[in-house]
Amino acid sequence: MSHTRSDQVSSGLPPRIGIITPMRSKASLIVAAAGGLALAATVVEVEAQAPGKIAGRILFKGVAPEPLKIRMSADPRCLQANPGGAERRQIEGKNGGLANVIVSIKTKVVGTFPPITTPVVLDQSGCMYTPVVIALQAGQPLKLRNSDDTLHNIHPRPVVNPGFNVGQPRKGMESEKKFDKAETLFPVSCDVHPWMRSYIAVFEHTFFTITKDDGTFEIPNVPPGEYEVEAQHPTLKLMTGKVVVKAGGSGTVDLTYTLK
Amino acid sequence: MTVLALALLAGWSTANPAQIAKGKEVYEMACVLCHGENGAGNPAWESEIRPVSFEDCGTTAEPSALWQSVVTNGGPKHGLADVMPAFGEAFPPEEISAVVAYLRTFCKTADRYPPGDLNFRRLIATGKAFPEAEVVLKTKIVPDEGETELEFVYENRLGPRFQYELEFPLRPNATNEGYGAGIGDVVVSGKYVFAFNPAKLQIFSGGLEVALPTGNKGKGLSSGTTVFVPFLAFGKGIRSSVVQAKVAVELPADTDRASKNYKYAIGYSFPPIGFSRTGYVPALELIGAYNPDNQSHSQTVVIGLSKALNKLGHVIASMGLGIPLRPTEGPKPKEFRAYLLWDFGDGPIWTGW
Repeated sequence: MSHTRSDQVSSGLPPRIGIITPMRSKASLIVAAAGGLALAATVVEVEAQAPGKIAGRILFKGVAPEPLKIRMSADPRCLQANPGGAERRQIEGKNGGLANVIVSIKTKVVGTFPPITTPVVLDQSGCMYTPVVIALQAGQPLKLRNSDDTLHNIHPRPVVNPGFNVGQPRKGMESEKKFDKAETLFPVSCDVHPWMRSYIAVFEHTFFTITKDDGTFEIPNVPPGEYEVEAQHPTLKLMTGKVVVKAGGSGTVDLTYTLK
Repeated sequence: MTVLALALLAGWSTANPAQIAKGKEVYEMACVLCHGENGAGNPAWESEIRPVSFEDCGTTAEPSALWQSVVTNGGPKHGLADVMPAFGEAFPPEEISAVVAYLRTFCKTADRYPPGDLNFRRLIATGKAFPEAEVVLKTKIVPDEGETELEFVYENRLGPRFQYELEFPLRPNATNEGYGAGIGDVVVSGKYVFAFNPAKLQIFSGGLEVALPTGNKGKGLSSGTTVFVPFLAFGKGIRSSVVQAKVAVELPADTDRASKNYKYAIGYSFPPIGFSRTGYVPALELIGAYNPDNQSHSQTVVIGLSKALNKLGHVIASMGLGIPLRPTEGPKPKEFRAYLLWDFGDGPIWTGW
């Protein structure tokens, strides 16, 4: 299955279920139901309530497609780095769990969020990108690093944010970039080595994470409320679920992809 | 002597072996995987986009400043393929200049070609010395006389230094003085670059125009005789500004039908506002004609402004106002002049936007 943007935008998402607005002094929440015919606003007082978390697991059923064999003959240094050959898996995970899924709160969260200043590193090592998926807060630094002794270029293709294409011909070279607007997964590729591909999603808020190898995830420090949670995977359609987070508690959401 | 000295100084593509050696290092580090060992593209590179072949000596017509900018800022900056990355963070300007110098060596006969650095922005009235591969649509409108002239010009190169040209003049409507509409005298011409000196940013050409009496003399669209026009053209860059000049003699085959004229034009292009290839270029020109038979002398100053319309800079528009200075007596109708050109040597018209 190939990943396309149309997969993402035509995924038949349910309408947004609410807007949650953390108030400055009272930490109140305003929940506006806008999910269909009725428009109603509810103010939920959560004064001094402790944040909770969203946890769960992203699973898949069915048979994962065979890994794609990669031809590296165009660059002898890549061949050298992968003497046994290389392959790219579209579906990764274990025990039925799906790795490399970005899980985030889809419900619009209005407020001021502390900016994440720690860079996420996109490394080019062994003529492969690491990691395969990246989740960033808008404005969070993305550090691009070339650990290979060959030319790579980093060419993201966002739709909302401006793109760029940086050449990194030297081993150890680093560049730092930012995306200033929220955007669903978009690909990053190396035009020199077309098998190299990673994906980036950008969020306004900080309520996002990436599933582990077994498909589990946890989003900490979530204000109490009712949320729609979204799962983004590079080659699968968007999936959403609902969860309620109580003060100091944990809301659970499990989503299952069925592979054809 | 000057021509000979200029010719001896050519050899621009191989003039700096140390720079070229440095450029080769950069090329092998950053370019070879896509552009290939020979500069014609790496056949093993898996891409639907094939890079331009640097072995094609037609690329000598592109200025180094453009290539340096593409390497520094990436292809999209100039409307080129987005798979061309930006290397401005990877290499300092001197190394980017070095790799561009190395790219020039893939054309094995580059030294025979005048480099694109001498391909100065076309002026409205003064001819170019550089051999072009262009289509130009020109117009001159004299409102006071109700006259509009259009001219379609096709120029193309043959070999390193020769250019041939066809001009089709057209008057779309009758003038106030009763001259009719129609096609004027078609001009066929050839131009040869006698000498050029990249270090001194100068180029010197000459050629012959032949105006054939294809127009209707009764409508004032023709001289009624073949007119031979030998000419010389010169261009020189002075830092960021440019001086271009052209002198010509109109020699009619039948002097009873047309008179001999000496023609001259000199223009000064001010430093570009913005990037040299694409920015605004204000210019000032003086054009004149002298008829030795009746000793009449006409002179016009043209104030112009040109601008590339696209990122690649191979589609350019220019507009100007012509103000007659001579003859000092009689009416002095103002002229509006303009051109729109497409340098098809740099690529199809739909590229580079």
